[in-house]
Amino acid sequence: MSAAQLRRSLLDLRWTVLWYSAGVAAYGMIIAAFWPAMQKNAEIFQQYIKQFPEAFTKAFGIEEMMSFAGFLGGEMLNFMWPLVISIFLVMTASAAVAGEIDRGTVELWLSAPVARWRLLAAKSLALFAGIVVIVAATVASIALAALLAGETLSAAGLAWCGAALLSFSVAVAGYGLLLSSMVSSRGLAAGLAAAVTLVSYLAGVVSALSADVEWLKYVAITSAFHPQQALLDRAAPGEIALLVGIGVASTLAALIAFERRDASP
Amino acid sequence: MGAPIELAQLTRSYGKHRGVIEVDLSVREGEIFAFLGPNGAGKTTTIRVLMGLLRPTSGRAQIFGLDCWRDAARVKALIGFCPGEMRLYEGLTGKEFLDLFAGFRPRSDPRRRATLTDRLDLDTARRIRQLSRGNRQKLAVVQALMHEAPLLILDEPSSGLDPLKQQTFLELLLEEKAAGRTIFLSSHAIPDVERVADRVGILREGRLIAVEQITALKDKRSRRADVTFTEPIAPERLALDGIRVLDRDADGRRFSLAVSGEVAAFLRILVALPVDDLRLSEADLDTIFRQYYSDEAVPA
Repeated sequence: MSAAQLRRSLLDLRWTVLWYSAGVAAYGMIIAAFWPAMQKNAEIFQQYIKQFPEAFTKAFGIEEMMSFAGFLGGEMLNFMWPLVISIFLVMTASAAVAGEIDRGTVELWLSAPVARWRLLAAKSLALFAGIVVIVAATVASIALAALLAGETLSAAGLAWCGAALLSFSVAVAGYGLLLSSMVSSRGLAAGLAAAVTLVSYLAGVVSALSADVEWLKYVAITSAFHPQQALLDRAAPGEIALLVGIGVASTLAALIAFERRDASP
Repeated sequence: MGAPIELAQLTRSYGKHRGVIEVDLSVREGEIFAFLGPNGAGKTTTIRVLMGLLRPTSGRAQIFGLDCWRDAARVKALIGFCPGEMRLYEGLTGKEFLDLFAGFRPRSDPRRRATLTDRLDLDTARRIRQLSRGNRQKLAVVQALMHEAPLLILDEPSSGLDPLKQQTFLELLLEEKAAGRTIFLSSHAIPDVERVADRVGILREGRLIAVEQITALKDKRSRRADVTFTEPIAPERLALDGIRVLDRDADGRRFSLAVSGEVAAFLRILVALPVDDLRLSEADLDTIFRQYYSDEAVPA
């Protein structure tokens, strides 16, 4: 891996990561501020939610709103957080290689006397470091929100929740990097990565509608993403490992693809 | 260690599109070799193969005996490179940009960089997006030269530089050559090439059609003649060995000709024609170069 590239990529990402971290942390705190009011009317709200089709409540992760963890899951972790982080990851990962080709800097970039895979590995590592910061900010905001609301969340639950958020992010970043290393247009790479994420998400929703299409859950990364359960100490390490595995395998495939392809504006 | 650049039957095609075809070339140590050709002739494709961006379709490209594709990282450690398309990292300052590329090399002499920025009068404190085209070009040139690499590959390096800085740039090239470095230069600036290059290679439609010493090319003593007639003239009336039509206007009154050999014979032909104006220029590389691209010889 190239230390010079890693340093540069970390510097390039610092403000984006800072703003996303501040954004998700602030969002978590704001949502948590509504919990006392929600708590008073939790039963009514739960009955209200039950009026919706099951697919709808599953789609937005609002199946259980009686507990603080369920409320945070429904309002933040299950849908909004993955949506926001996916935008960050798709845009950043797609720029790694396709962005260099698209804006015409690839000739200069690849004039560095460093193997291509080392350059991309450095960019990938910087992206993963950014993910860690955003996840840490998210988990810290949840812990603080729980403290302010007088709710109890276990340290293990918070840690597993962080691991679940991290695993989802690593998976999206991985296939984003892979697509970026395979095409020459950043827009195309971002579009494809966004499409994979959306299709995967929809597959997860549709798979819950009927036993006939239940098999679709196997193509949905959201099937292995349960941060709310993780927060309640009901994490599934296998699911987390699976998502991390997808991310790592995709990133390795990206390094190989980039080594083998022509890279010309 | 092999030759600085060795191309053997190098072919690179883009599907149905031509890139370069069966190019054989050896660039010698310590020379300035200029690669000439119009847009689309294959100059940039060749450079991209040398820089390990493109894999050859067939044939071989080596730098100092190393394969440009398989040993790309080791090859690039031996190269200072200035790309043809001046796209830089817009958000960086000049200093950050140079720091980034210095960081990729184990040894980088800051005094060398300072000398280059001083001589090219480059302000490295400003963001690249705020720089003019000329200043971006200077930045790319400094980046290429600051590594003191044994081979410089420069794609249109002087485009955008003002005349004074072009002069400084040519001096820098000659100093690099005097220091024993090899320079592979692609350029449209033929007067610059004429001043500094030892040899030129001429590409036409992907094929290397000539490799000549600059002195040998000049010895061909083609002069350029721009002739205006008072009435349209058929090209056949200019028939003489050694005359090639480089250009002519649609009404057949104005001709640009390359005249090699005795000028007296050419003048004897003109005496019999209704000449309105004649300008006869010194032999220059531009005229010679254009001869290679002119299919039109005066019919005998």
